[in-house]
Amino acid sequence: MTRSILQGMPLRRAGQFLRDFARDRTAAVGLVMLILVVLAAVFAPLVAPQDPYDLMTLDIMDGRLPPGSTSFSGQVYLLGTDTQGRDMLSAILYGLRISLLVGLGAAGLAFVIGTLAGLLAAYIGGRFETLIMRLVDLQLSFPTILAAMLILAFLGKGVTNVVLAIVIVEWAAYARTARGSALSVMRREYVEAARSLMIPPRNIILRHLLPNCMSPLIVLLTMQAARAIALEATLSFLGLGVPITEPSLGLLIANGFEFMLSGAYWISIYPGIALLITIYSINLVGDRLRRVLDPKATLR
Amino acid sequence: MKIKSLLVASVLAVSLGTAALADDLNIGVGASITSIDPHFYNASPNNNIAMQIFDRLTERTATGKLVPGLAESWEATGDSEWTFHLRDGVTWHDGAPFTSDDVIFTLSRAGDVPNSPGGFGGFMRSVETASAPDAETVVITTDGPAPNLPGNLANIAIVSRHAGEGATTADYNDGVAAIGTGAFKFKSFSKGDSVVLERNPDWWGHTVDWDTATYRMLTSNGGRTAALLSGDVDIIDTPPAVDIPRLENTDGLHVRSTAGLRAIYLMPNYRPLDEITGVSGKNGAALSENPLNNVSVRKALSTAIQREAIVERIMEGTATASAQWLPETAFSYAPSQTVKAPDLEAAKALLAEGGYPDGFALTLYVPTDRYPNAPAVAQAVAQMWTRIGVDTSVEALPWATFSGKRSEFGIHLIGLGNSTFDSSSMLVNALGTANPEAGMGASNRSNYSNPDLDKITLEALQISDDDAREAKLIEAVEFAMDDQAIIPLYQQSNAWAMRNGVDYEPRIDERTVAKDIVKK
Amino acid sequence: MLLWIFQRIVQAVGVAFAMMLIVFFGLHAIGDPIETLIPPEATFADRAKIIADLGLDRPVYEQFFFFVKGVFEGNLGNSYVFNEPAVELIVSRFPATLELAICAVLLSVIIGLPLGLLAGNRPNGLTSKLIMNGSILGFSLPLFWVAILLILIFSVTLGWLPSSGRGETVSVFGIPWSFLTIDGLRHLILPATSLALFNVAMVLRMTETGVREAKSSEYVKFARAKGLSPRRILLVHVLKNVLIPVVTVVGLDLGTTIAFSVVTETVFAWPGVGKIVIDSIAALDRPVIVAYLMLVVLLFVFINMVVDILYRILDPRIRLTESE
Repeated sequence: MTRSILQGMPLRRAGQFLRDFARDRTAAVGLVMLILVVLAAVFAPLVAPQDPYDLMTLDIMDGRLPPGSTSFSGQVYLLGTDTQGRDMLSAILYGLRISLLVGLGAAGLAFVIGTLAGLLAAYIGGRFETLIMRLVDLQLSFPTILAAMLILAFLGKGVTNVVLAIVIVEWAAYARTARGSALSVMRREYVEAARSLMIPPRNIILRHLLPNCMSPLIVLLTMQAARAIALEATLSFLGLGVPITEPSLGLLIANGFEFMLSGAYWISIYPGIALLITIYSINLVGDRLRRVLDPKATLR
Repeated sequence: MKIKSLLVASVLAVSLGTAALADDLNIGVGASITSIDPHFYNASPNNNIAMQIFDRLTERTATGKLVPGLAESWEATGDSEWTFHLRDGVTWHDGAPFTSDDVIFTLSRAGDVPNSPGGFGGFMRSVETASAPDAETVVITTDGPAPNLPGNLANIAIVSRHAGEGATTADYNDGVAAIGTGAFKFKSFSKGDSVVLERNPDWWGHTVDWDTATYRMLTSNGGRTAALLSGDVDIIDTPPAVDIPRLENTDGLHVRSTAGLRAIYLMPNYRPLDEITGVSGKNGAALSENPLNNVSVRKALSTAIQREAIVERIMEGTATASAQWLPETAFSYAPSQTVKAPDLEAAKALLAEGGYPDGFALTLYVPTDRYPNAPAVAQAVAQMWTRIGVDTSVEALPWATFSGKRSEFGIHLIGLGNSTFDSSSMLVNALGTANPEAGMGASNRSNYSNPDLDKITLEALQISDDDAREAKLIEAVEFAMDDQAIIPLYQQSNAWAMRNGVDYEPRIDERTVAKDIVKK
Repeated sequence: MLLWIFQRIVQAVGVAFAMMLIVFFGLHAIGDPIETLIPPEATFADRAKIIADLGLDRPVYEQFFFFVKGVFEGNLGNSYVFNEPAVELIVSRFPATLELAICAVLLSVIIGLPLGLLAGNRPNGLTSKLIMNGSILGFSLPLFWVAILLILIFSVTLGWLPSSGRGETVSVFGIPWSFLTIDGLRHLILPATSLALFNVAMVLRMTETGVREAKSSEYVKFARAKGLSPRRILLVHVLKNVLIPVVTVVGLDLGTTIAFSVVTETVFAWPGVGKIVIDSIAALDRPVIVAYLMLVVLLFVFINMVVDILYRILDPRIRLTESE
C-alpha cells in the first residue's frame, strides 16, 4: 500500500509504470484527451480566433448568432456567439484556462496544505493531532457545496476567492488520508530508528513519511482536481463564482441557460461538452492511477 | 379603453345571466406574495393582493391617473389641510359599515406594523394629524403644503378598525383580519404557492368577471411560460423577455405591454476617490480626483451608450430607451429630454473637455438577480465605454451583497420603481441631499448634492396647482439631466401574456389586478 | 461501549455548536439586510424603526445570545420577509426536498446495484468495461449541466416531460406529495434522475469492488465447491455481503443529496427548501438561512453519529483498530 513511486524512481521504473498505465486503452485515451485539453488551455491566446476579454472586439449587434455565422466584419463564428457577441469557440478556450487554473490551482493548494497538516498531525500527535482531526471532522461533516456557498457569500466573488473556498472545503480529505498513511509508516523500524537518532523532524517528514504516503495522495489529487473543476462550475452557475466579464466554463453554461428554451442551445451546450471532456479525462486518468498504484483501494 | 372593457364585461354578464358556469381566473405571478397584511411589506407582489381585498381612498388607473376610491372627492381646505369625502353605503366583507373612523385607524396602523421589513410610512411622511368630523369626512393636516398627499394615499390600503385593531400580520394571513371593502374576499393563502380570492358581490365598483381569482406564485421564468402554454393559468405577469416572441406567435395567446414606471439607470458616485471602489487610471495608474465628479465626463459616458441597441438586442424590445426616469405618458415627463443617437466622436471630445483625453478605467457594478438581463446590459455598456477609451469591467453581485455596498461603488446600475407616479420620487429620495429634517435623500447612496436642485424640488412639492407643479417638476428634471446627475438607460416595459378570451389593460405600475382582468 | 457512545454524542453536540458559531458569525459578515429589504420610499424614521424591530441595533454578542437561546427553544426568529417563524417555513418546505432526495437515492440503488453486480461478476468482460467507464462519466457530469441537458432533450425537444414545478400533489397528513399522482411522478422524473446520477456511479462502483472482493473470499469458494449455482452464489451470498456497506454509504449520502438538491431545485423550480434558501440568500433573510443551515448540520451530525455507532456495534473489527 505504501509502495513508493517517487522516491528515487529510476527511469526504467517510470517506463514500466507508464506501460502499466497504458495497458488500459480507455485510460490511455483519457490521458491523451487531458494533454490536448491542457495544451488548448495553455495556448488559447494563439489558437482562439478572438480575444473574448477585449471588449473592443465585441459587438452586441453580433449577439446570439448560430454556429457557422459570419459577422459584419467577416469573422466566422464556428460555434456561434453569446448575447454579448462573444465568439463561443474563443470563450470556451479562454474559459477552459480559468476552469483549469481554478480547479488545478485549488486542488494543488489543498493538497499541499492538507498533506502537511496530516503529516504533522501524525508526527507530532497529542493535542495538535486532536485539533487537526477535529477540524477535519468538522469540515467533512458539512456538504461541500453549502460550505463553499457560505464562504463565497462571505468573501465575495472572484477567482482568488473561489480558489480559497475550494481549498477550505477540500484540504480535509488530504489531511485525513495523509495522517492515515503516515501513522502506518511511522510504526516501521527505519522511521523509529531515525527518530531515535535525533534526525531533524523536517528531514524525517520530507524524506521518509511523505514519499511513502504519496500514492494514495496522488490518486486523491486527481479525483479532487476533477471535483474542484466541477465545484467551480457549479458555483459559477449559481452566480457565486468568477466575474462575468471573464467567464469560466461553468459561467458560460449558466449564461446560456435562459436562452435554451428559446432555441439558442449552443451558448450552453458547447461549453458543457468542453467541461465534460475535461473532467472525464481527469477522472479516467485518476481511476487508472488508482488501479495501478493501489489495486486494493476502494472508492472512498 | 376602460369604458370599453366595462361595456364588454357588462354585456357578457347580461348575456350569461345567472348561468351556473363558474368563472375561475388563474393568474401566474413571478414574485412571491409574502403576506396578506396590506401594511406589512411594501412590495409589488403583496400590493397586488392588497388591491383586490382592500380599497384605498384614491386609486390609480392603468395609466397612472388618480381617480376616486373610497373617497368620492377631496380638496385642499387650507395650506396644510386636506379634506376627503367618503363614499356612501360601502360595507366591509363581514357586513359592517365603512366609516371615517376606519380611515383614522388605518392611518395610525399603516406606518407601524411590528417587524415590517419596509412599510408604508414614507407615503404618510407629511401627515401630522387626522380627524373625523363626521362618519363621511376625514380631515388630514400636514406639516406644510402637501399636494402629493392624495397621490401617496393611493398606496395605503384602508383596513377596518373592528377587525384590525390589535390584529397581527399572522391574523391577516389566516384571514381572521383580512376583512376589506374590496372587489374580492380572502379565501386562502398558501405560502410560496397561492392566494385564492372569491368575488365580493356587494362591491361598490365596476362589475367583476370572475367568481374566484387564484394568484399562483410561479417564480421560475421557464415555469411561468410553461404554465401558460399548458393552460394551467389564464394570464402571467413578467413573461421572460426571451420567451415573448414565442408567446406572441403561439395560437390562442397574446401579449399586452406598456412602457412602465421602472427606470433603469447608472448611478455615478460623487464621493472623493479614496471612499469609492472601481475608479482608477488606465492599467491601475492613480488618478488625482474622481472623474465622475466632472459633468463633461458624465455626459461623455452617456453619449457613448447605444440605448436603442441595448433595448433591441438585449431587452428584446421589453424596454423603451430613455433619457430621463419616466415614461412618456407620466405626469412631469420632460419632453425636452429625448434620447439622442450615440456619438463616439462627440463622447471622446467631451472626455477630452473634461480633462481625460485618454480615458480612465471604471468598474460598473450590477446586481445579478434584481432586474431582468441587467448583467448583460452592463456588459454591453462596458463594450461601448471601452470604445471611447474608458476601460470598463463589470462586477456582478447578488442583490444581497450589492445592496449594502452601493455607497462604495464608483458607478452602479440600479432601478427605481416609481410609486409617486411623477419625477419627485427620484428627486426627493435618490438625488436630494441627505437631510432627515427635510425628509430628503433617505436613499441617496451616491452622495449627489446640488442645493439648486434641492431648492427647485422643494418648491415643486409645495405647489398645489397641478399644472404649475408639473412645470416646476419638469424644470427639476431638466436641471438634473443637464447636470447628468444620473445616466438613464431605459424604462422597463410591463408585459402580461394571456390566453385569448382574457384581456388586461397593461398597467404602468407593474401590478396585476385581478378585478380589472376582463373576459373577451 | 456505553461510555464511548456517550463520548460520541458529546462530540456531535460539540460539532453542532461549532457550526452554529460559524453559521451565525459568517452570516453577520455578509451584506446588510436593511439595505436589501427597504423600499426606496422609506424615510429615515422608517429605517430606524425597521432596524429596531429586527433587533439589528443590539450588539452582536447580544444577538448571538438570543440566537442560541432561540436554538434551544426551537425558535430561530421570524423570517424578515414572511414574518413567520423561520423554522416553520423550512419545515413546511422540507417534505418536497425529502421526496426528491429519497427518490434520487432509491433510483441510485435500483440502477446502481444491478449494474455493479454485473460488472463485478465478470470484471474483464466488455460489458464490465463499458459499465465501469460509464460510471466515471457519471462522476464527471456536473449536476447542473445534466439537469439542463435533460430539460433540453426531454422537455424542449421531445416534449415528453415537464421541466419545472411539482405538478399535481395529493395531501397525506396535511403534507402535499407528488409521487402519489401520475402528473406528480412525471414532474419528479427529471429532477430525481439528475440528482441520482452521481449516486448511481458511486453505488455501482462500490458494488463492483464488493463483488470482486467477495468472489475471492473463502466462503464463496466453499459455496462454489459445494456445487451451488453461480447465480445463487451471486444473488444470495455475494449480494448479502455487498449490501451492508452500500446501504451505509447510501444512508450517509442522503445528507449530501439533500444539500445538492439546492442546485436541482434551482434548475427545475422544485419548491423545496433549496429553492427557499436560494431566495432567502438573495433577500438576505438571515433567520431562514440560519434555520436551513442548522437543519442540515443537525441532520449531518446525526446521520454521521448513528452510522458510527451502528458500525461499531455491527463490525467488531473496528473495535480492535480503535486502540491506536
